[in-house]
Amino acid sequence: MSDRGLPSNIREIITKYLKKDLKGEKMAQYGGWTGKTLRVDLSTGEVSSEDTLAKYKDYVGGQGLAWKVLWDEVPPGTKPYDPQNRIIFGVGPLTGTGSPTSGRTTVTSLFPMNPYYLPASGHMGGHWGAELKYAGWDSLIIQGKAASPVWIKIVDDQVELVDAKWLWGNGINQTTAEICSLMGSDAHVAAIGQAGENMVNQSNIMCDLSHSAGGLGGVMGSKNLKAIGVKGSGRIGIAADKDEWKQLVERWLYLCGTNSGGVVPNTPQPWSEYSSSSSRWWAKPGLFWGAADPPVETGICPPGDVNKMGLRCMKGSSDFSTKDASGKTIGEMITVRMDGCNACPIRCHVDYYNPMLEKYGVSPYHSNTCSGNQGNQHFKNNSKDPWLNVTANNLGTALADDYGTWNNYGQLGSDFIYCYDHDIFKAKLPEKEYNAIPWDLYEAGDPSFNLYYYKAIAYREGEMGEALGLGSWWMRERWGIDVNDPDYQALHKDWKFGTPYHHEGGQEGALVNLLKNRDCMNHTHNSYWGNGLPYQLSCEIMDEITGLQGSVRESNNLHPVTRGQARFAMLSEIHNQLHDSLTMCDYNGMAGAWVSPWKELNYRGEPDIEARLYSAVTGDTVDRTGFETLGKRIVTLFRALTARYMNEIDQRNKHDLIPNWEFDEDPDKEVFTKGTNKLDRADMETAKDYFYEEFGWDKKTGMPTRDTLEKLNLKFVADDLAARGLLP
Amino acid sequence: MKPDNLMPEKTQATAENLTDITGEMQDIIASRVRKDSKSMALSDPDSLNKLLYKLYEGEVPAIDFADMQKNEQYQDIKTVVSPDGNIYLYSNKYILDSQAETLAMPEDIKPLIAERVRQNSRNSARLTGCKSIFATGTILETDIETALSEMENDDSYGDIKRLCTAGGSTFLYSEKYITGNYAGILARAEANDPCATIAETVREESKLYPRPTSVDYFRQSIFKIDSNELNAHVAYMLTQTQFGDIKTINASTGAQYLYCDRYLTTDHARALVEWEEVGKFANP
Repeated sequence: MSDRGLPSNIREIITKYLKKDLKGEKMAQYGGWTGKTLRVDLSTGEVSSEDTLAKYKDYVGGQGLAWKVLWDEVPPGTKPYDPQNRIIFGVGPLTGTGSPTSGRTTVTSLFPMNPYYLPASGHMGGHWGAELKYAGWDSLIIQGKAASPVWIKIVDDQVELVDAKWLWGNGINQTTAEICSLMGSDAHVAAIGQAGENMVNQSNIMCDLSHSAGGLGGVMGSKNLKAIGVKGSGRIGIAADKDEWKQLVERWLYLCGTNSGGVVPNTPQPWSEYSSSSSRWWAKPGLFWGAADPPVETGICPPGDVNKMGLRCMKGSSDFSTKDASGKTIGEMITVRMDGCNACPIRCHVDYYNPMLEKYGVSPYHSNTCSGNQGNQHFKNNSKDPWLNVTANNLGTALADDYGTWNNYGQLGSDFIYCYDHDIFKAKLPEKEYNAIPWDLYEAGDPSFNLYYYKAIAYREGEMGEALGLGSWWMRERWGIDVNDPDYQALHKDWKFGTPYHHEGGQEGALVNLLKNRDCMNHTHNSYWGNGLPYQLSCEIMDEITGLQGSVRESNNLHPVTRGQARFAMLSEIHNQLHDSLTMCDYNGMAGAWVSPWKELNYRGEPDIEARLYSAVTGDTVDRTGFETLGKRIVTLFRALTARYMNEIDQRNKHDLIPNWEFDEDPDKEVFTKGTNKLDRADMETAKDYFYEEFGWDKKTGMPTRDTLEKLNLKFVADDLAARGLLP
Repeated sequence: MKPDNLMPEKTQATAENLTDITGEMQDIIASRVRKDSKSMALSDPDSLNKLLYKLYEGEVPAIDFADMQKNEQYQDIKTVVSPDGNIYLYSNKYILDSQAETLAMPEDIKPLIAERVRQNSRNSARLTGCKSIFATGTILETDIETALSEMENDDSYGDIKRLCTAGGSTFLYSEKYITGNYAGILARAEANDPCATIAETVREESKLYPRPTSVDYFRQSIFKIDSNELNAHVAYMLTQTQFGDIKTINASTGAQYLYCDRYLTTDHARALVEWEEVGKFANP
């Protein structure tokens, strides 16, 4: 981290490469979209505005828009760190409208960690995306490479490239503070740290200090782009009548659950028939935001009580569940409050205060959630002192969030432990480097080991920092680690392409992993498993959604795959990508749409409610089927894009891989017996058949057919694929 | 009722004459109560106080009826508590104690039952034991039973649900404030039999969700099991033949779980426990 402050000649240093007044552009004929997409070419300094509706409406926004940009502009063979590559900060028609959970931004590019550099996205929350909309922009497309470090300053229509040489070398905290000191404290900043600058593959982009888009910091770094500051003073039009819109939002609030799709409380409570430890509805009497002044009791937060929605998800006590001698979780004691993103009533972000952090030279205050709060996941042994244990976690998170390193959904830590356990470090690192590593601190679970660990990765220090920063696939290639080593499989559960598995469920859980080019990040699917309802009820509800039988299999009690499971997987993929396009938080899953906390509704949600939100905001009225067709178009374009970058028509066998451990785990058990989720190879081939058929794709190759593409208004994709020999 | 000849001349209550006035007021009350009782009517303290306020201008001292009964001349003045908690006075010169209890009985106890049950459900999320609906025990169980039967067919009491335990106790709760499953947990805890509470809960979870149940789950206050004794209860339960269907299993983390082998196989339970303890934390 740099200790440089603001230079005295700051105004001179902030060189305006270009200042272009973009006012007077055509306004949108719909609600939701501003009608303008911002493009910045860092090579030429040109800033331009494009007509969102003319170019991208068919793809909704966010994720869909980004796939279209890559399709149109980034040819096969491009590498992530090439200037020709694009990085798209995508928001959608719902972002900034106040539609619940619409505070997400989908950042998309060619993914450096992927062995084929296939496209993928990182997803960040916070308020940056909404601010971009307030500034009048539907998304931001960045291309080229600046001659020297710059940051982008966006204040409504005024877009400037500003010199960032003086910021280069700083961590995300300092960078954000410096830019806010220039733009005002109400600015929102997305920035990279030293890891991104150094083009570490395992790096992220962080907005509002603690909301990260994983895996793409290096792409910004490769473009000499340090940060993007945004301030907007506009508003987003909503097509629907004001009262209609209000009623719809209130209906959603009535129906929804909590983070990760839970619709029952975590512990038995008077208002609920059911409870489940898988639910993130942690609020209960006696559970406090313990570091608040005075402490705030989460208490009973029944559905329908909108003023208590923010108390439901007391994630602090879960993310830091280590208990001290008092029997309370340390997470409860250090949680100041639960925080979250723009327009989200479900506060899943933990703001915490751990005074022990000051000893290590970082602020005692920090925020993050879920995988972001796993700053010590590379430790093989945790400290026996519970406070040191949690402090190691908090310190790791604070350092990672400042350097801008990313843990690849836990795979980084798993790799570290594997290499440690199997003496890979000893074998691969120069002796001098190996001996200089403070292994005694590591073995003791001492928090200060993190000071070494994260810096090494962020600065690509030594062989260890270099290799770990590459990401799992490239590290294994570099060091000759066999992914099929049973020990590696047992520890990692690596899925494919160096990404960890990321799902629950049997066959349909595996299906949702097939298409992705990073870990599958499909919380639409995962959250359904986390709803907390009894299995039979969950199954009944999903069967109604799919219109088929056996759509959800009981965990560890699998049977041969059904078409219902394939449809569940298809719908999960569609809604996952719709969420990332609208934008809506996928971590909330389909709570409110597929399930709800209400007994009088027999725990059903309203499956068309997201279509209604989209229709009400935009005025582009679609029913559930029409809405899902939008999603199918986005997913199908993504599939075509993947095939084109791979130059491979046989997606079924070359891309949609399932790791051996899925079939070989629990060797003492037969497939389809109680007590194992192991899959059967022949059965999964059937599952793929069903899955592709659900999308209207060719079973043999897993590629969309011309007929399907044309029905989805993707004829240009069909023509392109045909010309490349990629159309079945 | 009109005061008639009981009305004395109006007197201003002052600190000096307070003692005299109190005696005078007690006389007035006794007279009124006896008069009511002659007519086989109970006297409502509120009405008596209103009468006093009307008679006396200024501050009227609170009349302690219990104290009044210590006075020999008011030995016949008695109190009775109605099933809905109201206090009435009567003179046992004219009304027998058993008659007073009957007179204190409201015409329709159904609203009282419903209100009491809803209050307990809403304010403290607890069940209402059938036998303890009315603190005085003045209402016969058969009357309560009759009222409950009538309530079952009356939509205005549709939220009042009855729960009978294996031990023979009957509890009531309002479904508006407590769900059936939660009421079931409360009822099991009411039995004050930790082994049975644990076993029945494990059976239900294994059947309903289905899932094994962590032993730590029973540390929640709703189960009313002393945390220090929980492990001993579990160990003892596992030795008892009536709980032979309850099995124990440990996750790789060491956490102890219980399951009912009528609904879950050992392999299935083991796999579910491992996901619960390890797998789900690797998938945040």
